Amino acid sequence: MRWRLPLTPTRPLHAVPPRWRGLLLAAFLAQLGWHALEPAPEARARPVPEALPLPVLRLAALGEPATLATAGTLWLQYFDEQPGESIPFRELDYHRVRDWLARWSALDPDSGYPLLLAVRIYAQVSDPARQRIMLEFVLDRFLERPGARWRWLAEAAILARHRLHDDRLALRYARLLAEHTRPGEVPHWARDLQILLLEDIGELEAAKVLIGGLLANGEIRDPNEIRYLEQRLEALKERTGTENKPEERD
Amino acid sequence: MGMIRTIARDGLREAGQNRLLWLVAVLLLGTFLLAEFVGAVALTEHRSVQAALAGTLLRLGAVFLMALFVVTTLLREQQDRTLDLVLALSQPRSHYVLGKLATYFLLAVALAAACALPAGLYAPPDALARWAVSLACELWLVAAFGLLLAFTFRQPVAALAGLGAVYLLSRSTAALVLIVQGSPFRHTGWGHAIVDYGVTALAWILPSLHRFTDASWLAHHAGDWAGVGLVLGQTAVYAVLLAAAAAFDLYRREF
Repeated sequence: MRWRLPLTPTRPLHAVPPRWRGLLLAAFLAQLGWHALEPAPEARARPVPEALPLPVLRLAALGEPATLATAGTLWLQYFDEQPGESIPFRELDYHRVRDWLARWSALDPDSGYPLLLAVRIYAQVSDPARQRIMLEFVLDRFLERPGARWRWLAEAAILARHRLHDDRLALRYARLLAEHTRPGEVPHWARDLQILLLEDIGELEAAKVLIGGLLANGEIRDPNEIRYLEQRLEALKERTGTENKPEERD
Repeated sequence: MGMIRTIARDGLREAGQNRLLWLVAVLLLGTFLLAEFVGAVALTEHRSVQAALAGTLLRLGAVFLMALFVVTTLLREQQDRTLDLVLALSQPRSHYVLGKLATYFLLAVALAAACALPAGLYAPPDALARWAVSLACELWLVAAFGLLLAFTFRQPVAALAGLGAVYLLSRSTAALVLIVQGSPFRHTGWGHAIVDYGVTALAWILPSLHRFTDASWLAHHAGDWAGVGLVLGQTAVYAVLLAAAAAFDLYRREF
């Protein structure tokens, strides 16, 4: 059986009177000309609107909150690229951006997209106050679902250390990451992030104390993690031993 | 000319017979009640909120009703062989298209005028007049698209789905072009090239409906009559194009 388009039979082209053929061509050309001559869309830079209440958004989602969250996240992502206008991140109202991100995250808790935007897009702005808004947003979302969102808090800790240069904040995030996750739920390096940060900022003694405490309290039972921490402890002892050793004189 | 007038008169009579007026009345009343409710709970700028909501609901509702009316009546004429009788007359087929377009023009004007009644409660006369003129143009173009697609697909679901897709694309293509061309996040590769050229091509072919019937005209009294001039120009150009395309299609059909 041959497949056919579900269209009615057609008569030959010359069944169409020439003036209608000509008019169709002329009208099509007129449309192209109109498009070429009409003014370009106006650039209208608008501020980020206030986030709508979550119940309203749930109602508007019509039973598809994840779909609305996806569309809303993309809308927010492109908000700085409004038609004909590019808005620097530092001119966006970050409180409103944070509120919108929180709404989309609440509508689709399984999606990491709002957290990715917060850490890798909005927190990259060179404005410490705005960076802190985004990092606190990530912390709040992490505390809601630590097991699923630990990686974003780990990234936030790294950002706090290297972009914001706030070691206390970075250590706080790393500590909360360890406190709110269970062994085996996240990789070793993530739970031991505070050790790595302490090493990174030169607090070797504090790192040693922390590892010693972790090994002593028996909370860690995974043999691989215990071995990893023991290796770190040995390495730290060697480093502190070398650094404390007085320089030999000729 | 007589046949065109007869078809237009019959079309208007049919609009009165198939409860279109009742549906329009429900749309106007529902919009009014919802706008009043929102105005009662809005904390600030309640008049602007009401105007924006009323403008949006009325536009979408009117477009929806017009699309349904056009597609269903045209398909019914094809299925009950009324169209065969009309085409058997010693008149050019193009007269049928022109008669239908005349019907839809009058209906669009009447529908836009009706929608202006509740919208006028929340907007000044100048902004309301511009909005209503633009709405009439938009409704006429939607109806003309419906005429073309009803003959192309000959199935209500396909015709209405096609009409919905064309309408949404026409309203959003300009913004899509700017996003595709200007986004720093866009991907590279052949997939992007297809989207890029495809969206740009659509912008050339489809009418610039993004300029039509903006609710902010009512809410914030934005826009001016020069903007309405662009709307009228685009309507004139595209109505001729759709009329020619519909006539072209109808001449080639074998019934």
